[in-house]
Amino acid sequence: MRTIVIGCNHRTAPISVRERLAFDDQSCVAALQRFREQHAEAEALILSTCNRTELYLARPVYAQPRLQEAVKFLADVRDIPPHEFTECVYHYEDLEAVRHLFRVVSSLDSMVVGESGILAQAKHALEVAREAMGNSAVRRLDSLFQRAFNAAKEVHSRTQIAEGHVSVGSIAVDFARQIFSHFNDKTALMIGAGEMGELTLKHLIEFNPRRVLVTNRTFSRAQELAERIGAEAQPFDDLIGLIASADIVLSCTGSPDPIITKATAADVPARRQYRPLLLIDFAVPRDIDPAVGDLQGLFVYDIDDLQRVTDQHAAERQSKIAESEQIIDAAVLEFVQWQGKRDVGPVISAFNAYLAEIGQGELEWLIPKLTDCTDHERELIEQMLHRVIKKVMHAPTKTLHTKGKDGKAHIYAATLRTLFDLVSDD
Amino acid sequence: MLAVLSTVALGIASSAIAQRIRYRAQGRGKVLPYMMVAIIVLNLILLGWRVADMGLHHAVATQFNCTVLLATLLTAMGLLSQGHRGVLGLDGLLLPVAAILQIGAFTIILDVPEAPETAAWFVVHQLAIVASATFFITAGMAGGVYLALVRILRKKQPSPIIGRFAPLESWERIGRWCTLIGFGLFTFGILTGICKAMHLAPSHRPNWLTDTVIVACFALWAAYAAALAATWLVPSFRGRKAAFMAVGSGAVLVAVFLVIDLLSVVHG
Repeated sequence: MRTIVIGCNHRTAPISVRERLAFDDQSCVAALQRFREQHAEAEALILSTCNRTELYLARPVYAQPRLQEAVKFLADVRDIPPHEFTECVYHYEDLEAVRHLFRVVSSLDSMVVGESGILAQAKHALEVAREAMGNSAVRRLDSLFQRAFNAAKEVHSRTQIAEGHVSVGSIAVDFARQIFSHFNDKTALMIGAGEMGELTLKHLIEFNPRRVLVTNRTFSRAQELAERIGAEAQPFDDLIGLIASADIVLSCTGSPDPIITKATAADVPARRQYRPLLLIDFAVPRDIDPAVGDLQGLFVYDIDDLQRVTDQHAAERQSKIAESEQIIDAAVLEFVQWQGKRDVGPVISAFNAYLAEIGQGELEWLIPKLTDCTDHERELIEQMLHRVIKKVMHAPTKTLHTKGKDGKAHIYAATLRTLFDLVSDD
Repeated sequence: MLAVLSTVALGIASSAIAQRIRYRAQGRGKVLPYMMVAIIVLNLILLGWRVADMGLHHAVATQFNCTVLLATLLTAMGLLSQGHRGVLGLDGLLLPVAAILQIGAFTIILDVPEAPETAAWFVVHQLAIVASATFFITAGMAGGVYLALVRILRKKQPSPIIGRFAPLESWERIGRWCTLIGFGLFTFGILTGICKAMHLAPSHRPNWLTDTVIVACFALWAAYAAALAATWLVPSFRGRKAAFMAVGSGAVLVAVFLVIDLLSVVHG
C-alpha cells in the first residue's frame, strides 16, 4: 500500500484559497463517501482546520487515485477549478507522507508551534473518516494515525514543546492563576473597551469569577460590552473605588495619560486590606503608571511585559523543534519498518508457495520417468529442488527487507506480486 | 538497616520530586506517593522497634528518634499534599527537608539517656514539640516559596516556577494556618515542659536563664505570638512581611532542633 498526502496550509495558500478548500464535518462525510464510490480499493481521510486542508490516501501500489486524480477529486468536491489552487498544493508520498503527518500531528507544522489543538482535530478527522467509510475501510490510515498520535504524545511529554502560552491574553490569565488560588470569590474589572482586554476577560470568565465589572468613560459603551459578555456596567466616576473592590483589573482605554498613578492609587492597598491585586495594562500609551507596582500587594503588567513572556515562550518552543524532529524521525522509521514487514511478509510467503508449487509439479513429472531411481536418489533430487528454491528466494527476500527500511518495500512487493501474479492474504 | 533504607528512599523521592518540578515528568509523579508511603512505613517500623527495645520514655528522650519522627511527619505532610492544586509543590519542599533531617539524625550519638523522673509529662512535651516543628517548618517553607514567587512575579520574566507551584494566595494561607496550628502545639509543648520541670527534683531542674534551648524556645514563642497577633491586628502585616517572619522563625527552629539541642548538655 502507498501512503499519499496532498493539501495546502497557511504557508502555501492564502486564506482566500484555504477557506474555499475547507470542509466541515458534513461536507467531509459526503466527500469521503463519494471517494469510496469512485475508489473502492483506496482509503481516504480529510484533515481540515483553519490553517490546512489535507487529503490522506492509502491505496494499493498500482491502483487509483494518482496525484492528478486526487487533486481533481478535491477540486470537484469543493467545486473549485483546479488551476485556482494547484500552485498552493503540496504532496508527499510514502516515507515523506508519514513524516509529514507525524510533524503535523505533533504541531511542528502549525502556525503556533506546540499548540495542542491539532492533535484533537486529527483525532476528530479520523473519527469522521471511520463514520463516513466504515472502520474496515480506513484500516491502514487508522494504524498510521494511531502511530502519529503516539509520536505526538511522546514529543509533547519529552520536549514540553507545548509548555508556556504564546498569546498575550493567556499569559495574563497565567499570571492571575499564579496569584489567585480560586476565582469564585474574586472580582474582575475591565476599564475601557479594547479588543485584547475583552479577549482576556472572556478567558477569565471561564474561571467563574464572582463578579465581572466593566467601566468606561462613555457609560453606554460599558453597558454594551457588559451585555455582550454577561458583566455588570459600572460608572467611571469612582474609578479608584472600583479598583479597590476588584482583584483583577484589565485596562485598555485610549487615554493619552495614565488614568491610575501611584498617587491616586496610594490608598488602594489599605482599602482592600492588603490583599493581592493584579493590574494588566493593555493600553498604549499606558493607562497605569508602572510605579503603582511598588505599592504593597499590587502587581502591574503592561503589554510589553506580557509580550516579552510570549516571545520567550515562542523562542523556547522553537528551540525544542530539533529534539522533536529526532523523536519523529525515530517514530517514522519504526512505523515504516513495521509497515514494510506487514507489506512484504505475505508476498514472500506467496512467492515461496509459488516456487514450491512449480517445484512439486516438476518433481511429479520427473519421478515417474526415473525407473531405476532409488529412494535415496529421489530424496537427493527433492533436497536439490528445495535448495534451489531457497537460493532463488534469498536475494528478493533480502532486497525486500532492506527496502523496508527506506519505505519502498511495498513498491517492490507489488512489483513481485504483479510479475508472478501472486495472490497473498493481506 | 531500616533507617538506611528509608533515608535512601527519601533521597530518591526528593530527587524524583525535583525532576518532576523541573521537567514536569508526570511518570515520576505517579510513583512518588508509593515511595512516601514506603518511607513512612519504614520509619514507623523503625520507631516501633526502638520503642519496644528501649521503652517509650527512653525512646522519646533520644534525639535520633525525635528527628526520625519529625522526618516522618514531614513526609506524611508531603503525602497529604499530593494531587491538590492548592498545595502544588509543597511535597517538593518538605521531602528534601525530611531527607536532610534524617541524614542529620545519623550524626546524633545513639546513647540512651537516663529515664526522666516525670516520664508522662516528658513524653507529651517531646511529641508536642516535634508536631509543632512539623507545622513551623511547613510554614517556613510556604513563606520561602511565597517570597520566591513574589520576586519572580515582580521581575516579570518567564520562569519555570510559574505554573509548577501553587498560587501566592495558597502559600499565604498555608503559612498562616500552619503557624497557627504549630503555635498551639508549641504552646502546649512549652506548658508540658514547664510542668515536667516543676515535677523534677530541684537539683535536676534546668536553669531557666542559661539553658540555650529554653531561652531559644521562649524567644521563638514570643516571636510567633507577636507575628500571629500582628496578622489579626495589623492589616498590612501580611504577604511578604508574614512570609519573612515564617521563614526566619522556621530557620531558627530547625537550628534549635538540630544544632543547639545536640550540643546542649544542660537541657532537660
